Amino acid sequence: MKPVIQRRAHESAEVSDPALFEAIAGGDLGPLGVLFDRYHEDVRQLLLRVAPGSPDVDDLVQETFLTAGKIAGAYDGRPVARPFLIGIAVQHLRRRRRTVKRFHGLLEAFGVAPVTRQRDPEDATLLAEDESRLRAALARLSEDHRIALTMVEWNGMSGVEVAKVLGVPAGTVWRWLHEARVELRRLIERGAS
Amino acid sequence: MTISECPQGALLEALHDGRLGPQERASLERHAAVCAACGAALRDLARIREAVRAPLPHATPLVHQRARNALLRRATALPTARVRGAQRGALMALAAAALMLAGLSGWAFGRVTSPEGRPAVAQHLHDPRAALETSVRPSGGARFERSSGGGLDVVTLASGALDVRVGRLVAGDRLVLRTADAELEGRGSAFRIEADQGKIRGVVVSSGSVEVRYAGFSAIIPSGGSWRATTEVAAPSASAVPVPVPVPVPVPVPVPVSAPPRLSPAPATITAAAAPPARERRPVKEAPAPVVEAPPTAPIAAATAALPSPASREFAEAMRSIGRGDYHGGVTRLEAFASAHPDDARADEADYLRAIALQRAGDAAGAAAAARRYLATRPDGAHRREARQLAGD
Repeated sequence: MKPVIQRRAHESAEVSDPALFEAIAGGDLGPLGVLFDRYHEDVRQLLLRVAPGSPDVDDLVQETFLTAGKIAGAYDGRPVARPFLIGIAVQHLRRRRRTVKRFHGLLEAFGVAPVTRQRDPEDATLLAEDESRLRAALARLSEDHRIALTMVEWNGMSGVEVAKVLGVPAGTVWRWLHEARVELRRLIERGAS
Repeated sequence: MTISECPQGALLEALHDGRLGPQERASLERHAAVCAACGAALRDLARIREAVRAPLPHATPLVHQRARNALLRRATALPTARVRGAQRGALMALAAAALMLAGLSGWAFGRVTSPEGRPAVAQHLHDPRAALETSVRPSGGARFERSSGGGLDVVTLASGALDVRVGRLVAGDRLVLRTADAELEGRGSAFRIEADQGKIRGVVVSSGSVEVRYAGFSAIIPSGGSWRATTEVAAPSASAVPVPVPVPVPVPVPVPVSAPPRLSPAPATITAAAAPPARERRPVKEAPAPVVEAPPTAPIAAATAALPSPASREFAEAMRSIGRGDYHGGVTRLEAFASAHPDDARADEADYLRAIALQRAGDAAGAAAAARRYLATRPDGAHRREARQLAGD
């Protein structure tokens, strides 16, 4: 019995995330495409920041949504699926890292980031220097520190949410964040002196 | 005053992360406005946030659409949760078959089968049509169980044989085959495993590689490698003494292919009539179970003394040396093992483990040199990636 893809009312942005998951769990894969449209870029942007190579990022994005489809019946009903999907992505990332050890491209991942915001020349110079130092420091952080920092600073997740995703106590997440920031600030101070 | 000297400094990250209540927040913001150290620390936190949030290129609409199509195509090829529930029984059977194969693979610490048997195996199992499908096909009256959950499929093989193809699994998903004495895992690989009375009897890997964990060790069996037990047990054949298994479910063959590979002829265990000649291709369906004349005479034990061959004992001894912290002794034993048994699949493992043992002994230069030697002698070795890291390349 093959699952089907139907293009129906759930193409609408009005359909809630829980309703999409319910439809997927019922065997209709059309809503998976809608979920992909809604959150693909969020998942991808997170992975670009913590994963080393873009080829892996694309694979991980696919795997994230495939897994979401497989476990749709276990969706917890929260109104916005972004944290749920990011949790899946991070779990995939950590598992892959444990196996293949691919977390060495963060510097490049940040390095290719185009700065689109308009800044005055003086600000831009200072910020570029800061960012350059920060990128170097970020690349030296442990994976757990980098993931926690990215999930909090990029995705705006709370420490409790991050702790749930990573399967560690919230206090551990706060400690990782603190250690990461101390390391980064130490670099800033060293660079400024 | 530095940030570490300011009593309010410890609260700055909580302020930055929004963990403070309104009153605490307002109070700390007032303080930061007049405290140079806290003000600077807050600005640093904002810079860090800005660096993490530096924009990265978005996927183009075309890339997005292609990824979307690929996702739906792949998702359609997978059973949904509802379908999976309906197919649970069949999956259990498939998993059990996979475990049978895993058990045989655990005999990686047995001995390599005759080289002439390997091409036949490869011919049998190299079927590109099914290369991406995960399947477990029982034969020889295979008895097994399968359980799955949390991305982990476990097939426990009690007796018989399983032909397993491990296709492209979702990252994090695993298919593990177990017998009472061994565990086997592969990705993108095809192999056959045989077991009797819960004990692994042999494994043949036709494509990819298979990791076998047996007797406390781990080894990689590469494509074309095959192994069989050298210790035999005094017991009737597997078919004559069925091992009770809770869910012995036969599984339909998903893709008709050529005959499954068989372990190379072993006079002590499989009769010449039952063991196909090397390089022979046979129809696969209804492949008869091997006739066991003299099954293993002693159960396979994890202890070194019970390991079936001198090579296994030597390897086990080396591993035990490393395990008890005698790294240099372990290195010496591993070198002796690799030298005495260059054709053993564990020779690859031994060469790599020498570098690991030296690293654990604190000899970084020696570890790097051993890793470089490994790369030079085994450019396609199973541990080449790790060795490159150790070598500092």
